[in-house]
Amino acid sequence: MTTEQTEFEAKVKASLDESVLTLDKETQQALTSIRQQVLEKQPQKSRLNFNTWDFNAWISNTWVPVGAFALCALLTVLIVYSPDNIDDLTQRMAVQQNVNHDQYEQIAMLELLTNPEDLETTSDPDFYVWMDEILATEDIDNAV
Amino acid sequence: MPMERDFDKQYLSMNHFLADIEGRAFRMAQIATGNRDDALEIVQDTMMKLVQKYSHHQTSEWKALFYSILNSRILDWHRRQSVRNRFRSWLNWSDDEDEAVEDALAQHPIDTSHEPDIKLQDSQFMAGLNTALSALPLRQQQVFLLRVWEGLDINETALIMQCSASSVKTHYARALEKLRGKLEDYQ
Repeated sequence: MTTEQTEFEAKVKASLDESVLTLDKETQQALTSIRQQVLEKQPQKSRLNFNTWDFNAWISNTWVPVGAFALCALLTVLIVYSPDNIDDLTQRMAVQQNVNHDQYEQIAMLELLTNPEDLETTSDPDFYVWMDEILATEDIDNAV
Repeated sequence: MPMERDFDKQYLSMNHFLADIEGRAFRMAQIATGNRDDALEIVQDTMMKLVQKYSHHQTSEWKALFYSILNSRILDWHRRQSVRNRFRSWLNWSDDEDEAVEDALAQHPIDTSHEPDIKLQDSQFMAGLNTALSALPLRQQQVFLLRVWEGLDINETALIMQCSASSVKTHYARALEKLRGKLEDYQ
């Protein structure tokens, strides 16, 4: 830094210091009031920070929310996986499976009708000749 | 009780620290915001956070912590103002289509109603300094005030501003150049 810069900075600093000293009374009072409020409002917090062990505050600040969350989670698990609900679920799955089994043949028929390749096969006379041969072979096997 | 005595000692230390720093903090906030009430609110928030969160730290750390919180609060204020100004300019778009959106810093004229009484011989310099400081970009303004007014070194300033030492040097050099240019006539 040059001397000129140092002088300039010193002048700036002096001017800024002066501006604080000449703050209006209203602002000075407001600042004092704010400081007192801040210091007076926080004695409990401050005591806690000064390595003073406040068991009740620790319990209420830490374990009450954690305990409440754990209880809610436990209740949710119990409700969802209760024996009644599991039976209902199993029943519903079984019914669904039966419905699927009954509908399976209908769906297969529908697929046969909607599939053009399968329709070509069923309209071919050689297909029926081949089917007769297969059935005849099966009859012979059954008779044996 | 030893703990009670410790608490009283801490209380008095904090009271002394805040009493010493509150005027400069207020002026910094006022220069940054251009508004007395907003400056008082920022100082209050800063004091509150320091007392709530950091009063158990070493006394020697309080200054850096205080200015770190103060600068953060001032930055938040500017962000909020920036959003408000964009919204306002959007609402007034049809009325003032050609009006450019100015920098948030330039949009807040200094509230002169609560300026300190200027009784010094170089009152013009003080008035010019206020205007010139207010016109600086926020980072330059903060770095300059911390370095010149608080006398913090480059590393301390970098820590408070959460930037590199080279950034502090750059901001400081630019701020100094601008201020010297604007205050030439008053010297």
